[in-house]
Amino acid sequence: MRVSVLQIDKIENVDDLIILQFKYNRDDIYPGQFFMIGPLSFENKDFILNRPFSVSDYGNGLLKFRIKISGKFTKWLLNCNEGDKLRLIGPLGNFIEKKIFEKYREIILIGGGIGTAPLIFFANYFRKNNFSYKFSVGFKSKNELYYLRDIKDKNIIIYTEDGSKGEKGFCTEILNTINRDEVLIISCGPKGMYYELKQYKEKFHIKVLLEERMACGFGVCLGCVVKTFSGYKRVCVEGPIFDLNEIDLEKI
Amino acid sequence: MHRLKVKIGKLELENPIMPASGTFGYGEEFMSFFDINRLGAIVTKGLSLFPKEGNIPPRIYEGGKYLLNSIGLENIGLEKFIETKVPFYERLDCKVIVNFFGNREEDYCKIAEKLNNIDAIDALEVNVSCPNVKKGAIEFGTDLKILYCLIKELKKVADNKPIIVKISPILPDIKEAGQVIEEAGADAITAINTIKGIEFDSKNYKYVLGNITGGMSGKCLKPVSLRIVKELSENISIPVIGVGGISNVEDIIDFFLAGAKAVQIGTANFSNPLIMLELIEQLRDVMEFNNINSVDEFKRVMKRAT
Repeated sequence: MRVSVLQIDKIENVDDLIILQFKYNRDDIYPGQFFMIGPLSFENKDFILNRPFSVSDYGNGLLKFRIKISGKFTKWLLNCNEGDKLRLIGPLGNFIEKKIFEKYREIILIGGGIGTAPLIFFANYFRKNNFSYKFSVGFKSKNELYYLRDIKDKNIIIYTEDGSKGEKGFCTEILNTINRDEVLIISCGPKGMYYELKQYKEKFHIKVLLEERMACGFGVCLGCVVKTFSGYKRVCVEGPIFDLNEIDLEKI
Repeated sequence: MHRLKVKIGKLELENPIMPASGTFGYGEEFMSFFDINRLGAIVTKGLSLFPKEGNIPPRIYEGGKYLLNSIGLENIGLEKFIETKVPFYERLDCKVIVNFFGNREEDYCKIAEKLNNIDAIDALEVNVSCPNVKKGAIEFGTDLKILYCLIKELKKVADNKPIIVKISPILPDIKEAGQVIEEAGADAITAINTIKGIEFDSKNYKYVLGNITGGMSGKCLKPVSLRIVKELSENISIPVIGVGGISNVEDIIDFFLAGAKAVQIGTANFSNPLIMLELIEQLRDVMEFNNINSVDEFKRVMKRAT
């Protein structure tokens, strides 16, 4: 991990989604990892901490984030322009090694809402490495499809709760159609989705991405811990990728 | 040029800038960012006799200008600390200050006695002011008789190391507290710890922190801390280390004007892990430009408000 000051290469906004891009040459950024992002100076801001954002894609020297506007920080970010400098700390958090993916015959990505953002990076990584995968995405209705803006992936299967696009239902339902074993599930979305996934945990190996409020993002403040069956773990260091079996959903 | 050098009792620091305990982990975590030997000292995460799990999440909440935390002194405990962290401190050139706390006087003494014999540790910072734990810590800091006895005992068992006492801002009489701490034999005082507070999530009708209360840090602490540092430095002769809301070099100078010998950087480390390095450079520049040869001189050149 490193502290870098980077210029915004591109910033786009559609509805409540910001797509943020930096030029950054590194060879150690993996799917699931995140960066703490913030202004160079916090003077005259109405927040004092950086915010954690998952990488939504990295390749060819371009680092991308897909961010949902939800509070004062993201509203400030919305007013940033191309060329503005931001401080980035990272890459942070754990990742899954390639040799682990190689053990599985298929990988199913399951993303709900803005939880699709980090999974896009996984999907691109799997495509580059010729891993067999499916990418199930879930939205309330077709009106939320802008979360996938610019994403072209023939492995995407869309679920909407109202049936206005793709299959009607929840994106976790894709697992009812998977009958082979040696399948790895990677999921990111609201907590309710992880409860849904619990019914499949005997059948598949399930990993989920967690999110918590963070002060530092690099392991010193101990603010982002989640309860696991082996004590508190930091989402920023031991996570954000956890085994579903390992986390105590009742307590997070 | 040695303008930045300061002495905290017997402890000689290359510069007056160090992290506040709890914002720097055990120090190792920052090695990937910069060479921490460039700091005046490092101050480690509060240590207890046995490992401590910490408080129930959510543990942090960011208000507009403050951070509320209820970590609850989660730490690895003395044994694991000596086994896994001390070897790292043995390889460091900068001063190592270990912050520690206990539920009973006996616990404080056991830790101090052990750390007293470790060469890699240069000073002990006694936490008698954490607002986030139910037992211990702050009780020792608010009852001056207990505090006096605790420091006396610590000085007996840890005769090799300077003892720095980190105090709470809620002491009713700061001057008296300072005098008691000095009389008991402490070598320095760190002022201040966080202020206990609560905050609500009014949309969901609940508290923002799992522990309900938390310690407030950030810029809003600064005037409180400056006042306490001033009261202490005017009434006692042991050095005062100022902490609370420092995020730029002007803040540091304010603490020197209040009488601090050195400063700790807390919450600001989270948003910019390089801030202490930047502040050391900026402080050096300011002192060179204004021909100020030591941090004590800031106070001497201060003009009285008329």
